[in-house]
Amino acid sequence: MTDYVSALSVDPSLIYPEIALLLGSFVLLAVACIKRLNDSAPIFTLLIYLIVLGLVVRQWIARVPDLQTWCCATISASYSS
Amino acid sequence: MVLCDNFGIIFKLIFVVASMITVFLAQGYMKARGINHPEFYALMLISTTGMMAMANTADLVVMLIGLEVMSVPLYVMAGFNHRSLTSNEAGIKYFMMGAFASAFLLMGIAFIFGAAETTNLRRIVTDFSYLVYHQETAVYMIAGMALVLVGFGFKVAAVPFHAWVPDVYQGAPTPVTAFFSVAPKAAAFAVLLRVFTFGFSSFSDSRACFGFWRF
Repeated sequence: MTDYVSALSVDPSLIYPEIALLLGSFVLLAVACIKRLNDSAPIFTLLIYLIVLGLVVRQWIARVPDLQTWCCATISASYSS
Repeated sequence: MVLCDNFGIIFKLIFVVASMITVFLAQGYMKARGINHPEFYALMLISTTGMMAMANTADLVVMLIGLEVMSVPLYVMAGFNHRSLTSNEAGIKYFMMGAFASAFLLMGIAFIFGAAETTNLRRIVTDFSYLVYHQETAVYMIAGMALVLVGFGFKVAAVPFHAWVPDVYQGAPTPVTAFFSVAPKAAAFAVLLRVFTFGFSSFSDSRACFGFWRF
């Protein structure tokens, strides 16, 4: 039997970084059509990459429960001290 | 269809960090050459999307889509310095070689689909021993694996599919060459590792158990 998988079965939280990158590139292209972005385009790109880095790190932390516990404990310990 | 494991996440981090370094490198270089257009950065973002899709999948079709989303912006980036003949040559050569690689890869995926009736690596790994044991499916599976290996051999510039590298790396703008040498290679290696250590992981066992070489 041929195996078909629907794209609707994909959990969107797994592809947040990809969605952010695509949206960022479309916004960059759209804004570049309206006004000159030659100097601010790299800064905008770096900003998008920073957001994506955050999303990837968030995915990683969500996958490692022990790391999440350790991070929470470390942060709460630093606040209490 | 889409995975989110530590393997994929590590590669995603590599892609993002490599791209950020490339943006830092490109800013001054592109301005000095008079080619500092925002489209370059948009292409880099789209290419990174494809790399992430490649590192994050357990399905051969999604892998191919990710590869194309990664590759097409790279062809444009290689020829981005449109006033330079060497840059134009790099773009054309990279496009030709990339098209060859994609054709081999697609042919391999078609063979694997013909044998396994699925493109999902989880199902392929479950049925792999059966597929390799039966002579009618074994031929297609082995041919498919070989063609996938050839396709990714082109992408990672592994010997003997490395001839395009000097021309493309020499002609493309320097930050693009830096990007080429890290991010797409890492993406192709991520998929190679995913496909050959997970999807076809029982290949060595099958060969030992069923005497693969008789085919």
